[in-house]
Amino acid sequence: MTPILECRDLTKAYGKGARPALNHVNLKLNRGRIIGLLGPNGSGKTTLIKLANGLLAPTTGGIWIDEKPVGIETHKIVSYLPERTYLNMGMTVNEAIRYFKDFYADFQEERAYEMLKNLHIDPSARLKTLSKGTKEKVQLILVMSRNAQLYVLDEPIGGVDPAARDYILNTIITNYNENATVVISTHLIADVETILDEVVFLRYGEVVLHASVDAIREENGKSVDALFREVFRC
Amino acid sequence: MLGKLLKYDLKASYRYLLVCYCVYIALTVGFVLSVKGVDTASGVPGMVLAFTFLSLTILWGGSLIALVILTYVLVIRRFYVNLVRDEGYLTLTLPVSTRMHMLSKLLSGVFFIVLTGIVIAAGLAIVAAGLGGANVWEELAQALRSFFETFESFYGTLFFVNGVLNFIRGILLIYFSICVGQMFAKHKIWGAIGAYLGLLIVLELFVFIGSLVFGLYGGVNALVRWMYSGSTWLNTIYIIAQILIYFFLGAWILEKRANLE
Repeated sequence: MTPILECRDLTKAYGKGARPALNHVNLKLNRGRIIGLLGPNGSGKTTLIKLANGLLAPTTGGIWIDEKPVGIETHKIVSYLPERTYLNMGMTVNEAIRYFKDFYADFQEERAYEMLKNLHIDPSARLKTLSKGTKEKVQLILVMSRNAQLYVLDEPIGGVDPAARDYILNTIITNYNENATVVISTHLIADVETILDEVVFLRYGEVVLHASVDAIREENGKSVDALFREVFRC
Repeated sequence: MLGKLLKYDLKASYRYLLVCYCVYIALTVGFVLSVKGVDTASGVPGMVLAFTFLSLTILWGGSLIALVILTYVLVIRRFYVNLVRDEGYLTLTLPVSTRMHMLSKLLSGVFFIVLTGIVIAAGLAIVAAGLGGANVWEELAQALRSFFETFESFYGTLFFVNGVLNFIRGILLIYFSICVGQMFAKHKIWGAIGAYLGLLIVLELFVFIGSLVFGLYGGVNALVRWMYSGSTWLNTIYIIAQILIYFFLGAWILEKRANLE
């Protein structure tokens, strides 16, 4: 089976002389997996995610999604949640749903309204009137309401309360198609560990570990959270 | 997809402009009524009347200038915020080409600026009708006739076409400068301003050198020669070339050199 995402000798440097945010990364992510993209601040997680979405240009090397270079065709199959608010705050939740429906052929409107109902979010509310956490929930609902082949979630639970985290993680695992891959970048490893199939550890822009969660537990006798603390101990 | 992009681009700004248009028309009507009131006031010292008239004129003139500036600010802000700031994280990951984004922003920008021009013309018509003499409409009709007479001449038409193309070029130059500015690691706004000013200087130099080469530099006679000579075509080609460069290069930068750090 072809990988859903492949990095070939991928390097990204933000300016001449600066240490690369990603340094000759070679990585293949397979389909049907939930993958944790883990690493301390400045390890290159968000840079990798932005490159996968065409928001940054690689310095050298490249990134392929479903064997296609990043572009319109990959935007059709990638559902991306950035670590910031990216919706027009003048919109209502209803309008944001219509926006997604207008542009993404795989958007499931009913699924979005069901999740809004479960999280007690008023669809007629204007986004600028919502709390930061609720805005993040709305964005996650929009992203997870697509039938994408690759979901790329940058810090999806960082800004929400612990009570909502379980619902969100449950939303992630129950709303993606089984052949799809979910990439989750987060610091809250203990919270996501139970849903992960694989992890990728990044340090100083390099992949230091890419393994299945089961293999980590078997070979190291540790949880992913414990291994992370050991590998990235300051 | 263009229709959908346009729908959202127009929806994002129309509310603000609608408010601005209403305020401008209200100020225009207020200006006309106040000036009429001042005109008919009796027993008020001339100095006070003159001061009141001047203040009202400045206020109304200020609102007119503010409307033009606000329209441009909204058009530029929409491009900046929607493509290279936070909203760009969504806009640039839509399954839509960057050329389509550029076209949508251009069409919506042209639409709003032309609409503002129409609203300003309506305001001027209110002032003319309210304060002008009996023959104001006749004078206006005469001015319009003179305007359309320019189209009877081929070069007059071409001159007008160049004006329209120049207007489009102006908007695209701003968009292109923003695209260049976003490539900077830091100080993206200053990068965009620098790109805009730098390009303006280079382009003016081109025109200056071109004018010297074609012997067209030097006062009103030169302008007349410019208008009625074949060189107007050169000007048309020059503007169209710029439009194409700004449009396609700007779209290419957004696609291949996006830098949403």
